[in-house]
Amino acid sequence: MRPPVAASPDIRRDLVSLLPKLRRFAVTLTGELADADELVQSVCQRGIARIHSWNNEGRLEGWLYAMARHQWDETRRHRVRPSHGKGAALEQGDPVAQLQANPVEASEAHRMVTSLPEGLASVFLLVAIEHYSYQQTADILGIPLSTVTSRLASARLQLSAMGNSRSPRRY
Amino acid sequence: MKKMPIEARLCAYIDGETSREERDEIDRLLASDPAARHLLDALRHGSDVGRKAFDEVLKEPVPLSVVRSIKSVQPPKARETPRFSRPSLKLAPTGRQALAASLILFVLGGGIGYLVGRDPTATPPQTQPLPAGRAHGWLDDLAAHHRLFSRQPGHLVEMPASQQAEITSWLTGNTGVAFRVPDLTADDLDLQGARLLLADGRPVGQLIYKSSDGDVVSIFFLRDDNAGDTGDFKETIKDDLGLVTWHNAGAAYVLVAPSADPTLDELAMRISKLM
Repeated sequence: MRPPVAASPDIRRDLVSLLPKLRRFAVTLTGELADADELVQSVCQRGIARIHSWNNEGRLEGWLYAMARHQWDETRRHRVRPSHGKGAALEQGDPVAQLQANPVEASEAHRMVTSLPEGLASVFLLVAIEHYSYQQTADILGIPLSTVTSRLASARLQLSAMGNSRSPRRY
Repeated sequence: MKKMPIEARLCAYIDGETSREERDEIDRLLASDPAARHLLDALRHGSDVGRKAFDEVLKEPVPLSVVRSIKSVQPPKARETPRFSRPSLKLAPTGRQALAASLILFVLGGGIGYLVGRDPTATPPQTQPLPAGRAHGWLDDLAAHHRLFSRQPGHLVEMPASQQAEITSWLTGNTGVAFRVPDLTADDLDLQGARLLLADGRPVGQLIYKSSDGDVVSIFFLRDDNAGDTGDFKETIKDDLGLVTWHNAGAAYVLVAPSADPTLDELAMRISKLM
């Protein structure tokens, strides 16, 4: 619609088009939609404010994913109850999670993603779905390369087991 | 890599993260070890299962409040911000291709025009209500139409803004919607012209505006007899485009503009009063 370098380029429209992907990544970190939405909102606001610090190389969402992971690490450090982390609330039947439940959250696919043990879903998403290299994934998530490979293998085996225990028509 | 567990090595094999030597070694292992083959199948199955699940999660709707919160943030103005580079759609036809396309469009347009306008005294055809279940279908058509023509500055409109009186009679006669062409210069939007198109099998009028920084904004309208004047303005986002729909006096209206415009719903409300 506009030339690539317009007089008043606006990062907001890029962020809006990336929202579904950002939100999906955030869900793999937080395990809960309410936390994911809050995280996405915060990351987008920071992204807009700091867009001048992006080197314009690679994928914008990769830069935002790394920012989201940093932000989520920070949020968890400041939380009194660390058990609010990814997947824990759903597994333990936390009443807060039950109150926030909605038809979308209740979908089988969503439950499958959020029921993976902590750390596995993000690695799987980045490598197997979004095709980041192991090194890029390690950089985004701030984990060693060896952890990427071991989490990836665990994620694939757990998903395979989940698929076997569900209707073969869907998975 | 060799010190890693076999499942991690097989993952690296699947993802192309192995050296050539490692790959050859795993190929030999797979040829001789049924357990390794079984494990590779399980890992691949896990990828397929996960891919389907994550694809479903991607389809979950983003709350409008999140979209609005982003639009309402003012980007820093002091420095020029780099843009996320998207692959651009370049349309550079040769002279012959352009001529052929023009002839095809002329014949098609002439045919449609003949069919629609062969009895100019007749009232516009009575229309069926827009099927609610297929609302996304016709909105998708309009978004796609807007996206296609907004990228072709030389072919943005069929009838230019200089023929405003003809635009009104042409679109009213074919869509059955009586309207005024809104003056949006106060919103930095200049009328470029109009188009007539089909969406969900019905004639749709399109008024096309352009802002001083090149953004293209469209107002689409079509007859919708069963729709009451609900006063509702519904905003949806389709990738880079924002769409606001409303109904008024037996017609459905859709405003289409870049989705990053934070005041799209307010603009729609002003337009509804001006039309």
